[in-house]
Amino acid sequence: MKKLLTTLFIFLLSSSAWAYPQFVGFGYTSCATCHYNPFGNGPLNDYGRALSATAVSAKWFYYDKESEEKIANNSGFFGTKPEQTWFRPSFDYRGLMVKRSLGQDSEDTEMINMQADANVVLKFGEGNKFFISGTIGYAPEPQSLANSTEEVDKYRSREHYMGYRPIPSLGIYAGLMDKIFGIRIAEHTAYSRSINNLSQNDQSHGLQIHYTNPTLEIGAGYFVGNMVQEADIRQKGFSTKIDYIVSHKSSLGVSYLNSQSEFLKNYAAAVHYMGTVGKGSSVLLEMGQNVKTAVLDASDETKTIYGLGQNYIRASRGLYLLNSIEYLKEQTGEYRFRFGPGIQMFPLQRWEARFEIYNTRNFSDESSTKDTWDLLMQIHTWF
Amino acid sequence: MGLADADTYMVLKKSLLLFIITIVSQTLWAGPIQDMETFILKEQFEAAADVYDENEDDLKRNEKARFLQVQALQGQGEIDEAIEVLEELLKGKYARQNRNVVQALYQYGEKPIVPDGSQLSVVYYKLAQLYSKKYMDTHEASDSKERDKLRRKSFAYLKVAKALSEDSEALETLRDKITERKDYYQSLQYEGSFYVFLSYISWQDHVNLIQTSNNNKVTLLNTSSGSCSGVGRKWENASYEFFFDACYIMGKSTVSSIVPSVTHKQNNVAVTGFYGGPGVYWKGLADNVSAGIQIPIMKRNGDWDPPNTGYTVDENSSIRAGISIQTKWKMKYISLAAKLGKVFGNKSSVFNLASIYEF
Repeated sequence: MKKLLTTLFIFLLSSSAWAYPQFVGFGYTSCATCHYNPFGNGPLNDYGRALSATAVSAKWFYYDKESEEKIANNSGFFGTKPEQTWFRPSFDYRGLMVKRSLGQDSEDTEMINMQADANVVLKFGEGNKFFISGTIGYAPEPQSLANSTEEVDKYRSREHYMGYRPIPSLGIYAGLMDKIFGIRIAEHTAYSRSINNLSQNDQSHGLQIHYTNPTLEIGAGYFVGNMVQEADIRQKGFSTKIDYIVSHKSSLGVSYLNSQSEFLKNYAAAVHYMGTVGKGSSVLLEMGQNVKTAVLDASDETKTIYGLGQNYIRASRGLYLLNSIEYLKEQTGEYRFRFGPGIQMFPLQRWEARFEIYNTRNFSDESSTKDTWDLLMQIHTWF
Repeated sequence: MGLADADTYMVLKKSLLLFIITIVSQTLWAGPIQDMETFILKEQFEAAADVYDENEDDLKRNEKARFLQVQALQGQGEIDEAIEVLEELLKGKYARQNRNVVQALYQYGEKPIVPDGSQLSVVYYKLAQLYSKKYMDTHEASDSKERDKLRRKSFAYLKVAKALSEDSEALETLRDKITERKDYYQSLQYEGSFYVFLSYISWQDHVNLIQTSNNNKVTLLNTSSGSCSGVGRKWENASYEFFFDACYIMGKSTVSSIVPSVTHKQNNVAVTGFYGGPGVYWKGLADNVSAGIQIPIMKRNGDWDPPNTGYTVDENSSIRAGISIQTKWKMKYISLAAKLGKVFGNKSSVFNLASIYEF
């Protein structure tokens, strides 16, 4: 064990996966433990890779007596143990098969290459205080533009930034990153992400500060929109997130975001909780409000309230049961619930498979509409 | 002869007598005891016991022989007989010392003292070891009262052995083993308790309009939601929780036609009903989070009205069975549960978000 910890620390300070805040179940309330980006998402650091290989992934394809230390040592780029500390390349692929509207006339099946990223992290200076992270990857055409003649660039950078951590508790980051807000769950179609414009391609250029101590984790960022977008639709503003770390097992926080483009003001606020409920199991809760107001007509305002609950149960090492419950209430009074039970597996280090069923129900005084049932099967691998 | 010389003479006389007795006894018993030791070393326990039986009259007052007899019996798995031998020693040779130890420990709360060379602590330790062996050998289906009796006896002998022993490492190891077994048995024990719960429930099914003139059926889609409050009883151990619960539904419904030719719709219609049945949760690797299934029966009634006199409403009331999958998160007396299920015959799912108070 001591050897394993030593190995993990030698690795400390590549790499790629999306954020999995449910791993608070392993006692990690901060994303910074496993990711270069302290707010999650993007490449995994060496510790994150080793942790994923040893604590998260199953040992089904190893000999029983294979040591955790050896497994951790193989968690680097293409199964290697890095010989130097400054260069961390990685590849990340995520493919999805979605069957929408099961049992209805509109049922269809689609295969989506959601993510095919190449990333490089360069680290410099004493204790690797400076680092640069850059990712370029394939971006599927948004479904909303499926019938459009508009040309969409299929390759984009979802992240490129520089980071500087003068002391372990403080970091400053500049570049293209995800905005700081709420619990950064992996499901980018979750209401908590989509209605707050925090989805898969909603990164923004800006400056972020991260501060943490044993009881607090604070993040704040100023952003100017994604510079590859048209200037008039870039959302400029700031966001912040403050988490009170109740113990190493749970954190309670608030988030705030305020931004504006030439057409739209966007405001969001949320309270959130992440807690360990057993070895490797967790509960995530988030409740928030989003208000979008047209700049040219203040009466054109859309208020949305949302809720997210996710129960994550570690059935065995590498096998997890999850249940997401989402709530969305629109200004009209109509609301909807989405239930998403599923299974997540990490059969081998660097491999993830996920099966989920989503049942969405709309509630309206006007009419009763048929529930939708969607089936999602996802494969994720990183090297 | 002076007084000091007389004392010296007495001591010498006593020592000589002891020496002669020792020599004589060793000469008399050396053979069978040595044989017993040899057999025990070779793990030939039956042969060792036979040696004792053949020489019982000579050996029964020899403490070493009795300990070897205990070892021989233990080696053959005759635990009860081994205990009998040790308890005989306790009631015979060590009766007074045992009484003093128990009195000192339990009556006066003092550290007991025994004469030098006393093997009483060994008797206690062996008894603790043998009772714990009997306890460890019990199985899940054995009488829990009998099991507890064995555990209590093991602990009682451990306690007195510990009071007399300087080196308690072996005793601590034995205590840990017994405690571990006790925890295991406790984790298997099902305990029953009641709970009450209040839940948000929603389901989607259908209501039929029947055209009275030609008996044609028009299907209306019903989306209902409301509260469901009820009680339940559960029986749980460390791994599983079996339960039976039921709740009363009070809700509102919106129905609308899914056939383009009929545009009937109604909202805020009162619905009542009942939802409940048996189920089981599996606790996985943690005690406070679990996943499970339930086999519910659902009955519901609605006050839907037909659009006009040409129609009647069929299936104002229905009773159906289903199946649900669910997860639960427990925080002391309060739990939160989420259920997603299918009631057979319904158009879509039934789901439930419950807060539970456990007594």
